[in-house]
Amino acid sequence: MITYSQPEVAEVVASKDEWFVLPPLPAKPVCTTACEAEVKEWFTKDQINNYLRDLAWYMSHHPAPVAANLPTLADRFREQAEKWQNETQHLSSPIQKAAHPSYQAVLGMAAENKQEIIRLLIRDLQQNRRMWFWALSYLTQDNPIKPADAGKIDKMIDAWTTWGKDKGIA
Amino acid sequence: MAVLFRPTRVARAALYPRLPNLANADWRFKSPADDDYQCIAWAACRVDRHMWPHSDYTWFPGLPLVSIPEEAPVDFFIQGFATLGYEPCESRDFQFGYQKVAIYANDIGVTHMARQHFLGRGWVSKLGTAEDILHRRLEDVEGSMSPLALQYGRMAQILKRSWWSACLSPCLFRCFRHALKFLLCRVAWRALEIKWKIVR
Repeated sequence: MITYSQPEVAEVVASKDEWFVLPPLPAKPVCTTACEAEVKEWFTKDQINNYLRDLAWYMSHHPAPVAANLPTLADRFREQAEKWQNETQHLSSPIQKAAHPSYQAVLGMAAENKQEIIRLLIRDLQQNRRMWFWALSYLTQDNPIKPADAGKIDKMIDAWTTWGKDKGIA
Repeated sequence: MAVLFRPTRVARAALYPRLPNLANADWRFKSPADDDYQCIAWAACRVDRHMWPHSDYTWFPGLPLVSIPEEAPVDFFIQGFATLGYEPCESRDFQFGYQKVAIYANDIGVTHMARQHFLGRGWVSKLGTAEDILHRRLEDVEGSMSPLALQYGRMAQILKRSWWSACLSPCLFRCFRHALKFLLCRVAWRALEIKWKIVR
């Protein structure tokens, strides 16, 4: 007989709605807890085994169907970068550009994988000349641009590219 | 240097949602899109850099800078352009012997600058990293004062300097050199437009 602790049961009960809907009341419950009555409604050993078996069959016949459709970090970055460029191309103020939701979204992506976002920013800087200078300074807490080169886009891009190579990112 | 020639109809379609007053205005393109400079640099007769009172951009030496989330006050730009001989003035009309620039601002500070055409035919605006345009009135590129609107707000200040002041700085020479460059660009652009029409 399996015995579940109180927090485990609470966690399972709380996530109940996220799970698949089970058939009616099991004939032979296997749990014994203080919340036995509630758990009994939707858990039996046979049912779990059945679901695992079905899941294994489904996964073997549908190789990673969900994961393949999920956009990668690079895809999401590209989408936001293009949107940002299209909507702020006419602006000169770096404050207005940095305040754009897509710019903020790119900064937010750094929470998932900071190194990858820095790499994508530097690559985008080289390929599309989008001005991610402030984002790079913010994320890396560094600024390789010499004061004499400030404002000159080609030299700023070169400075960040060199910085990326030195750090092994680009 | 990244100069982008794009068909006029494509450029117009991209600009109208952002600058709605242009839809009913008398204006035309003056140059292809170029990301080497933006409007502030263009107002200061520079076409090889971006200017802003921030450490990542070129700015007039010795003047205070702002950090990116902070607003950029109009006073910073008045002080900066004073080093080129500009001083505040009231009239936006063309005055023979004077060159004028206009500063636009919204609720969080300066957003844009435009320079008066040398012969007073209107105002020349570099639209961010997009094209230069010549528009008849300052109101043609005005928009919402809200920073969320991604527009230029309203004209906040006119500055002027005499042609003599312009002659004393290298600005005038640069202006003529780039006027010539833009003339050549327009010829190339027209040829491309004809080609695009044929291809379509």
